[in-house]
Amino acid sequence: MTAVLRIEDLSLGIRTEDGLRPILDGVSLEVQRGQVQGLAGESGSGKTITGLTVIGLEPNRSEISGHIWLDGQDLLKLTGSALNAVRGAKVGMVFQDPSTSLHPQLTVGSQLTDHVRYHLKVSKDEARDRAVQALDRVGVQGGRATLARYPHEFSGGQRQRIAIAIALACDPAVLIADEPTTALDVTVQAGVLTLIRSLVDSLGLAVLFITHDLGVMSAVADRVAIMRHGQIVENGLREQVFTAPTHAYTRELLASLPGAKGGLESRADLARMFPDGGLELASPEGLEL
Amino acid sequence: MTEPMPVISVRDVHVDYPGHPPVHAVRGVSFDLFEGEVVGLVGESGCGKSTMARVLTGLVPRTEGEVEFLGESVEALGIGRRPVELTGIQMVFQDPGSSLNPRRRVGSQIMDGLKLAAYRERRRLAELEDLLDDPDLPPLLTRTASRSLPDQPKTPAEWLERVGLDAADANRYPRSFSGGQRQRIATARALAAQPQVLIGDEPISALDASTQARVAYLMSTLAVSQGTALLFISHDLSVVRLIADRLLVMWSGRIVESGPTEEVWSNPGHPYTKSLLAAIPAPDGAGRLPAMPESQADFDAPPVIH
Ligand SMILES: Nc1ncnc2c1ncn2[C@@H]1O[C@H](COP(=O)(O)OP(=O)(O)OP(=O)(O)O)[C@@H](O)[C@H]1O
Ligand SMILES: Nc1ncnc2c1ncn2[C@@H]1O[C@H](COP(=O)(O)OP(=O)(O)OP(=O)(O)O)[C@@H](O)[C@H]1O
Ligand SMILES: [Mg+2]
Ligand SMILES: [Mg+2]
Repeated sequence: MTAVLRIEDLSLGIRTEDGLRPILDGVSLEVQRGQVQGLAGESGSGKTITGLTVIGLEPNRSEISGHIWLDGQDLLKLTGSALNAVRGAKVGMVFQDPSTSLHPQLTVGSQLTDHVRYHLKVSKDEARDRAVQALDRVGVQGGRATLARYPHEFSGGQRQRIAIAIALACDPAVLIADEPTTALDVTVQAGVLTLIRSLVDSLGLAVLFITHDLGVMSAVADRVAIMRHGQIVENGLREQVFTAPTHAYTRELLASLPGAKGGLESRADLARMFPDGGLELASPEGLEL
Repeated sequence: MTEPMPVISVRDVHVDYPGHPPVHAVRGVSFDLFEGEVVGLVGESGCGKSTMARVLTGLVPRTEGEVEFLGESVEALGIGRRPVELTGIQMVFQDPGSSLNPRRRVGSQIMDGLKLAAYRERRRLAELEDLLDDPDLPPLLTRTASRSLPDQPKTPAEWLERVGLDAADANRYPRSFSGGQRQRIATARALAAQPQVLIGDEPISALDASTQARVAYLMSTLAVSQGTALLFISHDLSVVRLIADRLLVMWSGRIVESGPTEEVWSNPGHPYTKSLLAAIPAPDGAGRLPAMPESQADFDAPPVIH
């Protein structure tokens, strides 16, 4: 099996006044061609930072060790224009918060066409055709008229679809999708998941899919990794992780899940699960870490 | 017995956004919110949920219709400060980025909420003093009332702990938190203002699965315990089902179905509600893509009221 993207023993700390704050601790992950590698886990565990580090957008004052292999190159060794050439063209990324991916003062069209022209060196007209196509692919209709509109004129869900369109406009080999459907209603989400899955199956796109929604994970991922405190605590085939999780935290995640087998079903279940009324928000106690 | 007065009453509201052509985002929406109830507002991306939330908080003008907060009309004032009365309606937004000021420490932003509560409390006391001369009984609920309860957190540090963060985080800036952590901070800031109405616009969508239900439950128990009405906007139907007393289902600027949560859930009447419920992905590990609606042709059907 050939991994398109291989993250190897990635550690990252951020320098602060009080010393180095550890964020990632020996993360290893592979994404194969035509495969969706899911990444779920606790809020603040380092999922987004992992994705950002792959495209060279880690926080300032980061200290990084390990390797990120793409096409035989270690991305951590690339700088400047070599890194820019990879970012966006070979790896596309969609963020959790669409306002991060979209510039508020630029029209949707100029953001799409600038991106396409920067990486693909095509004519203005061709870039515009590609832009309309890219929007069409994610279900944003309206053709060229849409290109003249600004991000704020779209709903949150529509903005996220536009962000996906930009990430996929240059046909990258790898897509890092950080909560790409978090802002979408479930019917539109179904469309986006089906779209991503079809790109994976037909074009061999490799996807690192970050989501906290285990329903979504169950629908699209081939493999599921679970992250906690900067470490991957479990990584396995989808069915195995869902039906026979090996780590206590994974079991905890599944138990607190509305709609899962044996998960939360009613307000009475909530009261049983959180006898303190949900006031205590820290991680449940009694977990072996 | 008198009929309970709604905290918020919305009558036939329409909202157009200017443009060529204008966007008719909300097309005749009516509903009431009562003290201490949790109402889930769900629906299609772009159907107008956030627009409704912004109308209720006076952030967006309505083209037609009426919105009353405790019996008085809510007027949109455009950008700038909202009148102190309207700070009894608090909001937590969908993008954690837009609820918090990136340039201020999170502790001082939570302090803003605490100050609003204290300010409204002072105004209420002043009002009560004026009313001493009044032969009529003072109203139970006034627009300036704050809802200080004895066991409520009193400082930003206590609020941070209440939402699962560290007291010491008060000195950090929003950008040094993860998406989910920022959303908890925004929730703390809104709740610190002791609002009569809390509107959560996707308040849990950035949280991880293990804390989503917990935070939703926290918001709803706080609401119920202090009589705050909670309008909970979310596309996460399985969580909404757990906390909402009532559901409002929106499609294309209208409410197409409404009623007690369990009734809507077990017996959806409108074609849109049916396809919405059918599209919820099951966390069963089976690798099944959720169903997409086959056609939207019949979504124009008349609304279903349970
Ligand atoms: N720019 C930054 N500077 C300093 N610390 C940061 C920065 N961005 C994130 N962190 C910290 O790094 C840790 C990991 O954050 P990250 O955003 O990767 O979490 P996550 O797993 O994506 O969480 P969520 O599910 O809430 O999005 C968190 O503790 C966060 O506070
Ligand atoms: N400032 C604006 N100017 C023009 N059109 C707008 C503006 N804000 C929203 N719209 C449009 O109004 C409609 C309703 O948007 P709104 O954000 O209320 O939807 P929503 O139900 O909250 O969607 P989502 O679930 O995706 O957040 C959408 O068609 C959107 O494109
Ligand atoms: Mg994240
Ligand atoms: Mg919205």
